[in-house]
Amino acid sequence: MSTLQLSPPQVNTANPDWEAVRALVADAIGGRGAGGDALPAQPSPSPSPSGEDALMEEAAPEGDQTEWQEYTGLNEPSPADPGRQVGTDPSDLDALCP
Amino acid sequence: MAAEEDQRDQAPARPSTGRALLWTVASLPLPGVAHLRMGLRRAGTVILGAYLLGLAGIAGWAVWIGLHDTSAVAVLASLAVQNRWLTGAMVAVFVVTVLWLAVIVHSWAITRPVDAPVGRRLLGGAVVAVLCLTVALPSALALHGGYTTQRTLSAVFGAPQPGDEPHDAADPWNGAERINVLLLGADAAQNRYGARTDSMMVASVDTETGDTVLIGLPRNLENVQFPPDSVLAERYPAPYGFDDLLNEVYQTVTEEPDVLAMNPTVADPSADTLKTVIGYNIGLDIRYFAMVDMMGFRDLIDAVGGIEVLIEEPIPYGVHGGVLEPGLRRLDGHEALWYGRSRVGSDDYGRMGRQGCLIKYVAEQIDPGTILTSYRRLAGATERTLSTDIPQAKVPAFIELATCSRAPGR
Repeated sequence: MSTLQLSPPQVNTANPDWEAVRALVADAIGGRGAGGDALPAQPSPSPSPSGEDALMEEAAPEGDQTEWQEYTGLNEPSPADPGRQVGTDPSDLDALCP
Repeated sequence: MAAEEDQRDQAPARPSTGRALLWTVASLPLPGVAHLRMGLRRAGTVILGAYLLGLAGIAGWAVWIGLHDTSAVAVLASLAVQNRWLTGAMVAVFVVTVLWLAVIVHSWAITRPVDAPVGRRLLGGAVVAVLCLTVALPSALALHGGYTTQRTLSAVFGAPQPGDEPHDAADPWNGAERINVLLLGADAAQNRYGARTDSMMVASVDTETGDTVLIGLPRNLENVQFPPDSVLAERYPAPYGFDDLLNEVYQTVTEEPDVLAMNPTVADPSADTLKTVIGYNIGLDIRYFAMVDMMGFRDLIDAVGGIEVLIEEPIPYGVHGGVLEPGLRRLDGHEALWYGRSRVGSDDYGRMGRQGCLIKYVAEQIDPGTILTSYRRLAGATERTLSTDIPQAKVPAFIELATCSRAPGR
């Protein structure tokens, strides 16, 4: 079981680009075909090319910072809340939930 | 009767009261042995033969299930949610129970001494009554369970909607590769007006493998779009559009269902409309919705005996200083509700993540066996809180999908 959350940083909830949201969802579900079981265990380190235009405007990735670090400016590489998914690719809930 | 009397003429003499009771007791696990003992060979052979044949049939079915690598409990659960199987099972239980009771009573009648003192007759009658209760009580519980299940299924799951494709048990998803279901958690507290769908997720399930992707929608999504030909689109035209959050769409439709609902004739026009609106916005054909209110979720978790959660960091909740302490803990309904609801020291997105974890924990821990063993409390909670447009005919297919999705790696 995997999850894609239409929340920041991948989606601007105050003004979502719905075309981009549809692209994210289509990628998340379409990518579950052959080889689709290989989900990232952790939030992806950088935005995936799919749906890129639709994402919130962000600065280019710096070094090996995670998307969460880029979004928050904090040192922690991923959110503290269990189950919180970050990035344009769905994440495996086994990895997100202890 | 004449044949029976002929047989009885050649039968051994009736035993003492003690031995008669022993033969009667033996006819509980082996119906017909008392008849054989008393020379009623035809009756004894038929009764014992039918009984052993029934046992062999059940054993053969269990072996068949094992050979086909299928969960017997899942198969039972799938059968239990189909009215024809459930009714057939209830009729079978009733008939078998009546026959079994008749055999026990008759076993005593043909073995008891005819000239026993009143005291021994009363003792014999009491023992036979206890034997009958041993059979009747489990049967009564099974029949009550069947009745409860049937009532709950009828109350929660409806008939197919007009325009739905006909149900084909061999191809329940009509060839679709994925089935999408909107999962809603509504907050309808008594101290607040109306209901808000604070938890919204779309479960997109691969119909072949059960592999599931949960699409989480924050409650505070703005600028929700409506299908162009809908009354909602006319009511909230561009450029301003819908001037509220996504979690208010349900209540907005609830206030004017005859005007704003996509289909005012369905049981829950608001949830049905929200299903269509979310599907339109994220580009998915969402076939069904399932909604519980927050208090109902608490009751459902309590009904299955709680849920085990590993908490790594303390989760404060509420306004009274409650804290879910770290550790591997079995949360009751109240605690599980706060696990998925608390925003103290967190935010909407944090609790949305925890709600996804709750779905995973429930899917992993609440198996068909748990549902069957806690059916009474679960049926009551489900009937009170769950609303859905999933037709009853599709429930076995969903159970099969859930069984697939519980396989490792799904």
